[in-house]
Amino acid sequence: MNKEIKHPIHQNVVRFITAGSVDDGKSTLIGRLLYDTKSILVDQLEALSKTKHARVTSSDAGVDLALLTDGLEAEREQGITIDVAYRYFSTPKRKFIVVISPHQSENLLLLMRQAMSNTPAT
Amino acid sequence: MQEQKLLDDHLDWLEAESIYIIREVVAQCANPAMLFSGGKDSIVMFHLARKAFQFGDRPVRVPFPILHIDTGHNYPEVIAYRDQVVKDTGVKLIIGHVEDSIKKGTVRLRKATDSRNAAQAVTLLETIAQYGFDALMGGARRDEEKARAKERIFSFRDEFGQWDPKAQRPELWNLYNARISQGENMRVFPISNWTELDIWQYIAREKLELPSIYYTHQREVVRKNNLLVPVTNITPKALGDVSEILSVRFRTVGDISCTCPVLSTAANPIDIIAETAITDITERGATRMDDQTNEASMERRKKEGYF
Repeated sequence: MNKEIKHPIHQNVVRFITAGSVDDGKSTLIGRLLYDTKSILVDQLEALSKTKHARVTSSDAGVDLALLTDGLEAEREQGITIDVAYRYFSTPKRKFIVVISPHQSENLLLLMRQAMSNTPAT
Repeated sequence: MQEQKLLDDHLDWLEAESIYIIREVVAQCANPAMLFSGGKDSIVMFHLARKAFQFGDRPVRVPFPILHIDTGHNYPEVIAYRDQVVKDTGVKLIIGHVEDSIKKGTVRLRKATDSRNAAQAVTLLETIAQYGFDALMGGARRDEEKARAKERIFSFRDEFGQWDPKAQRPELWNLYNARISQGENMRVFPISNWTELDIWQYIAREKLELPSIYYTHQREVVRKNNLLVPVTNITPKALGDVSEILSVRFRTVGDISCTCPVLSTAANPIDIIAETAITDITERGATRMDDQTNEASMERRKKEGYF
């Protein structure tokens, strides 16, 4: 119990967030991260390769990685992130929660704080 | 040993978050209920609810009923499990029957054996209206599906039960806003941040019992579009189908007409954790016929009031 009071943050769940301007590539960056950590399963990649909304394709992945996190129909059609998405991956030591935000808007700062509230080492 | 300790730590964090959310619902809402289907996610969620209201050695009394939207197409093991839970814990069970909506004419199926999964939304909304629930907790997880990854933990629904993904309320830190007007309701997802792997690790740690169909068993199936369609009285063999008897288990359990098992010899949670860690197909991708019709089928169903 004492340990919990001294260290209220659990080291084994790390939350982090993307921030940036429109079309900077926030969703694509996280898509790439998920792809490289092998968090994307075969059927998800297959669904992506069939999608009608792909705008750019990364040469070795062969799909539009931003669509991994842009889950809403309107987001896929317009090629932008409209609302926050949550994705999960883990390593043997840690569980990661990624919060993919839309580009800067008034809400974003609040959303960032929300995400940061549970992140160690910020 | 070190490994085991680390695993526990992240489960403690998830457990604490979920218990906090469930207590928050009870604190803020006048007439909440918890969805319970007898599936693994609702079993974990109900276990968390019991933990949330466990005070010392006093008998646990969960301060809300559990609600099952029954499509009438169930695996008998799951219904037996549900009834056993009610008997063991004394919780109040409310059942909304899709069958009743069909009789009333609010649900129309093209043929009697059609999937009733989407029709659940209609029955759900009717049941909400009948009992006047203002908040319903569901065991949906964000890692299940891309539209679910977009939803808040406290998800506002208008008087038609519709989800508007473009006008979601902000959700800051752990401050949850369950305020609604007459007729509207709240859908709350206490295990949003859990993954399939977390669920199995927790089941193993807490030694939770599950319906037997989650573990390996022999079943007659037909291979169709990369799915193993079980042969049942609701999904009979079509002309020309070749069936096989295989060792399978269910990764997710829902309406018989749209849930398929996967090949597996896993006989306990530890085996399943090992399988889940190396699987290359998602939970719904391997098992759900209803998500494969369209890229946005889940989102569209949610907009119609589905969980």
